[in-house]
Amino acid sequence: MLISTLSARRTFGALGMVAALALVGCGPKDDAPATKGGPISLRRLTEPEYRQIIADVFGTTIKVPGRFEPDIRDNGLIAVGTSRESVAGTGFEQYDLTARGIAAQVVDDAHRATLIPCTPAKATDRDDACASQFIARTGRLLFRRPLTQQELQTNVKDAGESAAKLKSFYGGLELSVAAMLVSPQFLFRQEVSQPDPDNAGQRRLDPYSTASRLSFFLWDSTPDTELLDAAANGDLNTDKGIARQVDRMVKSPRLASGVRAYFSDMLGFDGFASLAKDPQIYPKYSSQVAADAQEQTLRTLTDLLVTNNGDYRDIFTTRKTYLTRLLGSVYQVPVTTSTGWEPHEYAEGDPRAGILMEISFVALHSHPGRSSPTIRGKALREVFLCQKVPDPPGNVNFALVQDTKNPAFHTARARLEAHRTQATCQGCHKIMDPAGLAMENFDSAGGFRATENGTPIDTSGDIDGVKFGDVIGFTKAVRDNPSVPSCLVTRLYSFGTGRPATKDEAEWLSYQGKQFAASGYKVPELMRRIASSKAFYRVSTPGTEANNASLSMAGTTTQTEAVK
Amino acid sequence: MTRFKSYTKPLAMTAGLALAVCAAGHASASETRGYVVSWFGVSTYYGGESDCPDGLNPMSTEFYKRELLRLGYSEADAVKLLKDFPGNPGKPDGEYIKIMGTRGDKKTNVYAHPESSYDPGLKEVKGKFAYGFNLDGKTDSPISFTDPDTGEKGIKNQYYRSLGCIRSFRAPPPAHPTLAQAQWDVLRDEMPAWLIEISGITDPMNSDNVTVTISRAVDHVSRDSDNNIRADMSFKVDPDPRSHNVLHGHIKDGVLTTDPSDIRIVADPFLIPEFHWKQARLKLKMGADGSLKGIVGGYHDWYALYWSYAESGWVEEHSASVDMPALYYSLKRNADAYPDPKTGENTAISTAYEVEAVPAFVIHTDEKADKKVSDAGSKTKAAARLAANVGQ
Repeated sequence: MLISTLSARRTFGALGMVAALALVGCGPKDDAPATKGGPISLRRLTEPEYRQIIADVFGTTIKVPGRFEPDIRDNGLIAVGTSRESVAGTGFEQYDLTARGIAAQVVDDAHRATLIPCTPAKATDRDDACASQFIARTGRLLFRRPLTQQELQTNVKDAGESAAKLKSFYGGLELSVAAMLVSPQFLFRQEVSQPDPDNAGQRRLDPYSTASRLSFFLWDSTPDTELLDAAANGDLNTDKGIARQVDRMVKSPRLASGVRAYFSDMLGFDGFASLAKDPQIYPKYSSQVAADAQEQTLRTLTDLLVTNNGDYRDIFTTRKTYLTRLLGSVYQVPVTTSTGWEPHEYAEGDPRAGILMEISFVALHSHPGRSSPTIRGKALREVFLCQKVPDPPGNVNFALVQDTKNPAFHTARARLEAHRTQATCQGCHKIMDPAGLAMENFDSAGGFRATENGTPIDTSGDIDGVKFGDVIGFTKAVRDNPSVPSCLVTRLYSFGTGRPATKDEAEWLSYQGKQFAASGYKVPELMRRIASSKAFYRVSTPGTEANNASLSMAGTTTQTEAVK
Repeated sequence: MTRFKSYTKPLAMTAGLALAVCAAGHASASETRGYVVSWFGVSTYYGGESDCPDGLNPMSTEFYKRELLRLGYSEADAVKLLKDFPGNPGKPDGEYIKIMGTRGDKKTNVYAHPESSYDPGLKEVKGKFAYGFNLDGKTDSPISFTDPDTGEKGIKNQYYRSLGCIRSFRAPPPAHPTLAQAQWDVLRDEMPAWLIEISGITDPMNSDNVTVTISRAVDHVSRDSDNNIRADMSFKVDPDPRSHNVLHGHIKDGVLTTDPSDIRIVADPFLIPEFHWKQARLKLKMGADGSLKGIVGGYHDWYALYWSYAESGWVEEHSASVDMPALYYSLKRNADAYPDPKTGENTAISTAYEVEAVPAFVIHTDEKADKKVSDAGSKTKAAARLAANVGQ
């Protein structure tokens, strides 16, 4: 390869140092309690982010071949886990192959006229002026900041030398694009801090890091030209400038992309990649059903939360959703459209109300051959209530729970009641099982069932002291659980910052929770408040992180302890 | 949102539920169930050697060699010509294909004009049993079979008599015969789905007065992860009147039987462009799992059935070992109804086909369609499902 990717490999090692170099400064004002901020992050792009960036920068006709290394989930979010990720050798090879595939398309006959802003003097030779135009413009979008003079010169020089050797201007540009796409400046969201002019001795993100944090938080993609311009002209150093951009971005239809990205992460949809069901037990489940199920939930959420600016808590009780014919076969409802999606509203009293009863939740949190009230209950606690449920001890005997054909225990409830007689199991099962048993009307693939082994399924129970008689009552109880909105505030903040909230930020989060309630639990408004806040851009000064423990690890009490 | 005008819900939705069903003119509650055909193939009873006491028909390599010898080729030449069987048309290894294609008078396409050939004599079924219907009401005619399951006498299925000793039409249950399976494997994906609706059901085990509608969908079937036809899918009815059949019937002990009527439905040229049965009827068992399983039978134009095989000529002949001229003469000989007024020769043959179906939503988009089940019906079922906490 004419432009060596070795230089890119070497740069990865230096990035860890860059991440640690947080510079100190002051930040914007708001009415919320002050925070000390957290460490800046160095986050590897997730695969969806990568794909979205390519679509935004080069257009949706550019295909992104292959798959990338799986991401790490930390504190309930991949967005947090990406701060702990690096690139292994095999992962880099995949990035390299993907980059070459993209670069070849960018300069091919079908795209060059659109994507390259100039025509070379000779297509068979270097044209540094034209190459410079293209690399400067494209590099700014890919690196989420202007290229340094040295970066630009190096890229133009390498593109020119390659063009001369290949006797192709576009061949040289192709290699230049490929090199940028494997650069750590592209693959990692590298945040840089600066002194906060409003708070002496404190630091905040620099304008380009601010632009990136904003753009990925609200739009799930790289900053657009206007946002980069705002960073360049200093607007993002002011409260008003940030508020203006936040206002523009929240009003944009692209906010839906940000909302989808957040919920896709929060709901653990990456788990579908490895989810399997026994086809003889659940023949209706397929990879396409899995894909449609995720899209169904995301459409349900964006319709409720963004399009209709609805109450977040209603995601547990809404009877409105979207279906394909394939999903209709699982849910056993008619779908008129032959291809694509159509809205559907369940009748009052239908047990399908809310996203917990959709395939994307009940199937994702089940075993391949049977449902699992325990896994579902655990998922509910951890995903929607931000409660950590400990893993089971290593010596637990699951034989009884797994024996779905045991003639003495027809239902999961009966099997779990017997299982819970083991003292070591009682604590956790008390907090997981009632919620999970409320969802037992839905099998491992999301199909409805009223009985198990001929015995009617009892879905009554209680959650955190609120009793319910059936699954409808359960969804209402979850909706009204006070931990639901506060969990969203905390997790959404972590999603944006790429780190768990700190203990120091607890008061700020509590304040935001109250504001969220006052707004009627409107998610776009919550995102606006977070994105407009000082806390969102505050960076802790080096050496203070150790005293500012993660809230999600040290600041919550597990329900196990609460039950005891 | 595009709202459907009416739809028929699959059985699985309604099992164990008391549904509010809006069927105009019905004072008592009744329901309509929808299905999509999940298996269709010619019914060929398998009873072992007793079906074909004269033996089975030869494989294509055997009757091709027989024909080559008859045409004057030496044993050595015949063996040489068939050395690379099946070979390829137009190439040296397919030289015999051209010879077989004109084996009647050495110049005429024998598949399009089978009478250019002599009758090689197809070995036919001489056993006692066959599935089908007593289409002519006679129990003592010499062509009558007996239903192997019910013992009903007077079954007419001359189509089976012609086909039943060809190897590719034989398979011990539950396997399907090779040719029928191969045809359905292609058809089910290529052809818009066939739909069955049963309305007026007051009791799934016994209903005296039901209406059965057979129609074609605009949508195709989908397969599930176990490679079967996916149940509970939605299908819109093709408004083409050529594929719209309304039959009257009754359900007794869980078996649906319809009164004689013509059934016409567009199929696919791969099998046959269109089925058109006369005096046809259905007999379908309503399974506890929501499925239907049984037969459709009636008189069918025998030449159309012959051409459904012969249209592909050598391809079907060599791969399924169907000696086309022999089949032609056999069908012509066994045709048992609708004589031509001029020649007196029968133009139709008694047939029976296996049918299986799984629950489906049948959606009528025609503005004039009667609303068999209201939108509210499906919503009612959800509440009922929860309240009753029974079913399935």
